[in-house]
Amino acid sequence: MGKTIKHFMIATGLILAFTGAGRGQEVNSDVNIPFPRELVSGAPAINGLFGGTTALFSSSLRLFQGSSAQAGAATLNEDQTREELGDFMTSLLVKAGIIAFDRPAPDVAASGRSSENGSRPAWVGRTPLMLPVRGPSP
Amino acid sequence: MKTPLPLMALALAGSFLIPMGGQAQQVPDWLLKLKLPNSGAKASMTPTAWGAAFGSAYLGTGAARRSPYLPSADGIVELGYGMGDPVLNVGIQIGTTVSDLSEFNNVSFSFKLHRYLARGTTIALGGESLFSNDAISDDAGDTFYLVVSHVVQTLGSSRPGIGRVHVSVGVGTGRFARKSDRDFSEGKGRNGTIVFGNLAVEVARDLNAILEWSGTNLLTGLSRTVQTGSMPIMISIGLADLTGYSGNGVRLVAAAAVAISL
Repeated sequence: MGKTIKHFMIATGLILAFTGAGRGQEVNSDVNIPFPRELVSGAPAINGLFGGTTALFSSSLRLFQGSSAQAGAATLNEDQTREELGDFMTSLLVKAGIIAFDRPAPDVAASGRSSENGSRPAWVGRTPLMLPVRGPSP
Repeated sequence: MKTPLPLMALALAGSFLIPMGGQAQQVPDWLLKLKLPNSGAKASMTPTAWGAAFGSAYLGTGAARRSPYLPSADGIVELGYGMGDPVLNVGIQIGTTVSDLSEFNNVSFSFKLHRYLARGTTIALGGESLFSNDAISDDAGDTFYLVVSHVVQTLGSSRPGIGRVHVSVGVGTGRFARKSDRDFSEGKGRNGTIVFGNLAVEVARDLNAILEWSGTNLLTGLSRTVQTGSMPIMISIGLADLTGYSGNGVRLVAAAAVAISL
């Protein structure tokens, strides 16, 4: 994380120095200055949504193919699934009806602390169910 | 990552209890072929319908080498946050822009409501430059827009990470519909086209070449996203005001931003 912030600060500093924006004087002008706003906020990766979505999903196909993979998928709760596939792709799979989330049975649900003790799984969130794929794409 | 044996056993047992439709799950072909946007910016000064969501925050800075009709540089800092789920519900992006880096007194707000429709298409309704101080503001004032963005599904390369084509088309008020007073006095007319659009072609992994029409002028640029762990860094550079439709010549713009999932 420290390295990332360092990179960002260097990049920002270079841009500001290169353009001289740090010395920029604000003007109450009649020129309607269009800001490069979308350059700042418009990248989906910056939004944390799509970074490597396709590649990530491809590498995660094993989670969704084959019986053992189904078992593997069933070991993930919703939070873990979203962390693995990304929020956007997880929601897309839910919307497509490929997976659904359901709460585990009371005798299966356990706290994270229990899991840390090695006695019970950490199914503290909703658990994905694999559903048959039917119908058109969303 | 090692899976504990009891957990695997429980999962295997659970897999027999979960209704599976009688056959092994297969990822549908349409999903494998679905093209979603890459991680680079798709535009420099025009909105896209892709927005922040799922509890992610970003901080960025942008700068213009020269302001229209003025020799001085100009810069902004923007802090934003995205919440909601644009796939299953609605994503909401809110942002605060400081457009006076020396005094930090020219602040405005922006928002974007966005929803993913299907097949790489998303729609958004947004506003920007809201609640700015008219006495010191140098922007076009309250601006609202409706935009649709799409990743062309029939174009692309067989090589992963290259060839995706992103397009956005929208309509807007404010800076999309009006030129500046200075433009008017320079004889460039009063009205913009209201319609804006942008095209971003993925020329290399996480690198987009951008061409866009802002409603008042043509822009082009490059945007690159560097993935560093879970915190992507985006760096972009572009040329604005490529035509004489507004402004007084080509301007260099650049930006850098970083995001984090909260």
